[in-house]
Amino acid sequence: MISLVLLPISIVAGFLGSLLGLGGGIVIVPVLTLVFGVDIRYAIAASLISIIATSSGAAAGFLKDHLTNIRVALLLEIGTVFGAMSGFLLSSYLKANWLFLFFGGFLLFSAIMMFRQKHDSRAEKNHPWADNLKLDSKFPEKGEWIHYKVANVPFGLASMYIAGIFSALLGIGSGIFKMLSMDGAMKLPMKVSSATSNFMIGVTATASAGAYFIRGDIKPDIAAPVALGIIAGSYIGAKVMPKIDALAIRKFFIVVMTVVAIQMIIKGMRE
Amino acid sequence: MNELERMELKISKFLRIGVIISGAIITLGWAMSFRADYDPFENLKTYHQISLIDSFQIQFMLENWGRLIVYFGLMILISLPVLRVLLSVVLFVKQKEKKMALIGAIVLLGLILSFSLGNSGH
Repeated sequence: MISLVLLPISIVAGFLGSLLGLGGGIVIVPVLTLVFGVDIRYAIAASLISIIATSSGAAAGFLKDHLTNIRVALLLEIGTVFGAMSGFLLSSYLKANWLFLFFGGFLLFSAIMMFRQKHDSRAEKNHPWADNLKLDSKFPEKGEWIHYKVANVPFGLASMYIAGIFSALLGIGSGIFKMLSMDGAMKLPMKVSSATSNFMIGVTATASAGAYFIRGDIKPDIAAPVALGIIAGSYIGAKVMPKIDALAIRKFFIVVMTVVAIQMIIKGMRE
Repeated sequence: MNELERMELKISKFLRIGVIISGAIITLGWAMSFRADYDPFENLKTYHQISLIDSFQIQFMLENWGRLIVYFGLMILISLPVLRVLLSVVLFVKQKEKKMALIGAIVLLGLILSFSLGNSGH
């Protein structure tokens, strides 16, 4: 009976992940490991499956809103895919306690990042690579089309490599790193970087999920309910998001994330 | 919406259908393999490396068709983003955008290399 419990838990994880803008992985990995005692490597592999499903399912919606920059996404996927490859290799050599420590650290970092003031900064001119590959584009805002340029492409590519490593190592979408690099360094508008990051997450997660799958780390008994639950939960989350006060939930979850982060770090130090 | 965006939207809609199909297959397999007296967490508390091929053979011998169906659904899900990159490459080749096609081909190569790492004993 116990495996049935995973379905509602994963629905809640997907729901919260989508409300917090962090994805379901950040919720489900601690639940599987701390509550059910599942080995963190199986939890990470199951989480990656749910990321592929939510990203692939949502891509059409973002494209329709004209917010996704397909050319930037494809270029940066070089960084994330090769990063994911390195992350997968690294995970083979790291002991499980290091994964707990890294995950705890990442949770703390995500909690801090939720305090970040969001402001758009625009690039004055294109980086030469952006000119060469025609990366600049436009997006709709308040009824008019706004043109934007793309700066610092090599830095963006390098930080995507780091994002890919963390995605494979911790079973997360690494959306936070992608956003930091795209709206922080490359100066893409916030909405564009968010949509483009979501578009890319599926390809990033697939790079390591495929490797974990072939190695046999993706176990049907947990991957099935986790993937199904998170797909359903994030779908509901996206539907109700405009209707509820997400800010209050975010504040509450900063506290929860900090507590869980500390628990993960303690577990990592004890094992 | 330009030609590239129109085609990518078609690809993304196709992917959404793929997610729904794989979700249905995974649900079916999970329901078939479900046993009320079985605690899946018990076997997953410690890590044992059993490759996908070995897992297939074990499930096949146990005649656990449900789990094999879940594996099939997962395989479809994992291949969806690979298909998206492949179709993007085709799209850029058609539009004679050589540099973008090359970038897509590098991403595709990265995905294939990454998958092969899973089989290399790491």
